[in-house]
Amino acid sequence: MRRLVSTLLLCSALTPCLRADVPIRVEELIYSLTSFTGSGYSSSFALQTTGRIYLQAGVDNFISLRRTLVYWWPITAEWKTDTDSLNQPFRGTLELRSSSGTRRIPLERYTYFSPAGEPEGWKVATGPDADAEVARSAALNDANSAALAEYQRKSNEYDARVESLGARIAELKRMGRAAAAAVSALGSLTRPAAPPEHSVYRSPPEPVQEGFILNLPAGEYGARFVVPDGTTLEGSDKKVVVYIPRRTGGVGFEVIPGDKWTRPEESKTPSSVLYVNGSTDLYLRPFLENEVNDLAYEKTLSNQSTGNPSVNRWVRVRPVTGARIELAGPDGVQQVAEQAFAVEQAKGTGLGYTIVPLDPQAARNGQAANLSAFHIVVPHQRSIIRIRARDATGTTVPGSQREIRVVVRSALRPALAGLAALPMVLLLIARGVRARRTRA
Amino acid sequence: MIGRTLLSRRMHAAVVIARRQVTETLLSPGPYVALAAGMLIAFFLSTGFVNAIDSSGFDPRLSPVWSFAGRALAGGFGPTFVERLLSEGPFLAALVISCAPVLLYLCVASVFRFGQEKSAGAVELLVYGPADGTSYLLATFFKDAALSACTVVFLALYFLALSTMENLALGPMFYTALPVVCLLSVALCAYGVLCSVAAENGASAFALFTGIVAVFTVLQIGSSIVEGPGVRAAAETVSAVVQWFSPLYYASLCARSFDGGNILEFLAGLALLPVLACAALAAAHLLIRRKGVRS
Repeated sequence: MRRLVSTLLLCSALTPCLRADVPIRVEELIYSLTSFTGSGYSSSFALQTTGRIYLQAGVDNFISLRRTLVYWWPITAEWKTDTDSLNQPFRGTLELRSSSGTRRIPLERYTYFSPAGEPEGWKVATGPDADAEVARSAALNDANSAALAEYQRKSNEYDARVESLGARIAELKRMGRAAAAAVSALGSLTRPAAPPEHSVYRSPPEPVQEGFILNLPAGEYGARFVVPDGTTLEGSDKKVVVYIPRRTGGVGFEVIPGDKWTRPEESKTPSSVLYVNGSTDLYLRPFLENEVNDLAYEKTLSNQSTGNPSVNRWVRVRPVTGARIELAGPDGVQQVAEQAFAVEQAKGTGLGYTIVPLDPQAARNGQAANLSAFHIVVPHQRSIIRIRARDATGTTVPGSQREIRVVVRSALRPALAGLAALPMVLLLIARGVRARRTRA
Repeated sequence: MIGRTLLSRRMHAAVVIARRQVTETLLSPGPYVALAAGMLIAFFLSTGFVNAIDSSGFDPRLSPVWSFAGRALAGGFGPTFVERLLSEGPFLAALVISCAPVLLYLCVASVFRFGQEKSAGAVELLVYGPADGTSYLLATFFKDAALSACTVVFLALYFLALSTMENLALGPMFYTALPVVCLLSVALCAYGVLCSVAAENGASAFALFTGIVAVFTVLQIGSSIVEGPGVRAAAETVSAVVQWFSPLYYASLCARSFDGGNILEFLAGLALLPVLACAALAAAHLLIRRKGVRS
């Protein structure tokens, strides 16, 4: 009884500690950022306490100012916004100060999208054009949905008709009657064609928003928000760092190993060597890349990220199209063309798959390729393969040279480790020579 | 004419003393042990790298050595730094890591020895002959520079053997780093000489040299770390002045400019390392003339 009482007392003493850990929300003035990263747009926000905003030069970036609730989310170790509870955008102008003067940027309605067939193209529409573009996208979506619904309806009708005719034929056969007419009717049925997917957008327009469009030359700018009465909004001062890539036009490779096709690696640095153990073939996809400052790029992706200001990194911009890969290996020089592949799952209950070239007949029947890449056959023994991309005219794409080295553990490792004792042998020799000279 | 005679006499004395000092150093076990340690480190880094290669490339998680080193470096300097460091193979990192103990040993041993000999009056005894204090400090510098260069060459040959056996590439960054490491060690040797002259005895010379190298290292690391923007800002502020005296700054300038394809800046950084060494030696010369060789 005494033990029970003491346990209850202990539990009651601990009860105040056992409460839900709800993050504390704090009201703050934040800058919402939609920044161009080279290949697309990234959304983040800058806290009131943040001093700097990083943007790429010469491209459209969008920022807006709003009052909202922010809270620290320990699971991902980052600040988050609670815009459902408070989301108060401000109207006014953004004042940018630099050594070349001061400029005021007005609020604009905007949207951004990437049209299909233009791999490098992101377009921005403002004002009425933005509304029109979003409306056009919505209309296309509606038309697409309607066509899909119609296809679904026809498809269901087709399935039902096939089912009923099948049942009718079976019944006629069971009764011993001729089913030729029903069989003929079944044979004359055609499966409805799926509606073609609209390919107007690679990335459809975002809903129209209001913000400041910043397309600035490289440099540092002082930014502050000016409300319509001409006063500056307190807490809106920020430094905007606009940067340019250190180098452009590099070529990187997405490296897809045959045994882990869902986990591709990247070879981005032009002087880098791709080391593999030769257990599987590789599938390569070249892409154009720019080299930017690591800190600036990380801050562009998310203003809360950290990066190394002393290091530059290559970032993917867009795929290299119309190229082929020249491969110089143990079997001589070969030209490899881009090919479509299908990933076929292993039959049975076991896991596994094989990557096979996409059957042209299956492609005509609408089967999409799982992978479109350059297939590099990797030898299993130690070897060096040199690759380079050539464009449609046969010219080597600058920065596309790479080495693939198949590394096999050397049998001479003990000897290599033993070489580390060489200095001690040299010491013995030196001392021996000295001793002989001293004796002489 | 008199100046040239004095210079040639001084150089001759310096070369003769340096030769004797090299012989003494080569008979002591210290440099050999440090070199063997450096080679073992290189061996483990290189074989660990090979062990961590799978079908898709280098995966540091597959090797305990690189798993730890990769996480530590990525935590301090960011994943991009690690990616660039290992993009051509393990040898750039291995060169820096394995050279460090040998080169530091050579510098520290010289600094300590110079101070001790000065305290014991050995240098004073020497300058009664044809040599003077400057000849002696030049001799120490020559000895350190020659042994450092030999060390780097020796290690480079070992790396070549490792790379050939394991089918790894040494890479253009590795070859470029060789002269940088040589000249960096020359500049550090010059600082060692300056510390020896400036301090009163071996222990204080050792402390002074270690302190200066530590300050340069901390500032260099501090201005490149990923986490702690406050620390980075503080290091950058202090570095704005101190970096011009730091051999590590010029070495990192070389690395950065080569990485960015700026060959002129790379050559400038490379040329400034011996200039810095000469400046430190000139300062040591002036100091020893003023203070004399008596402790």
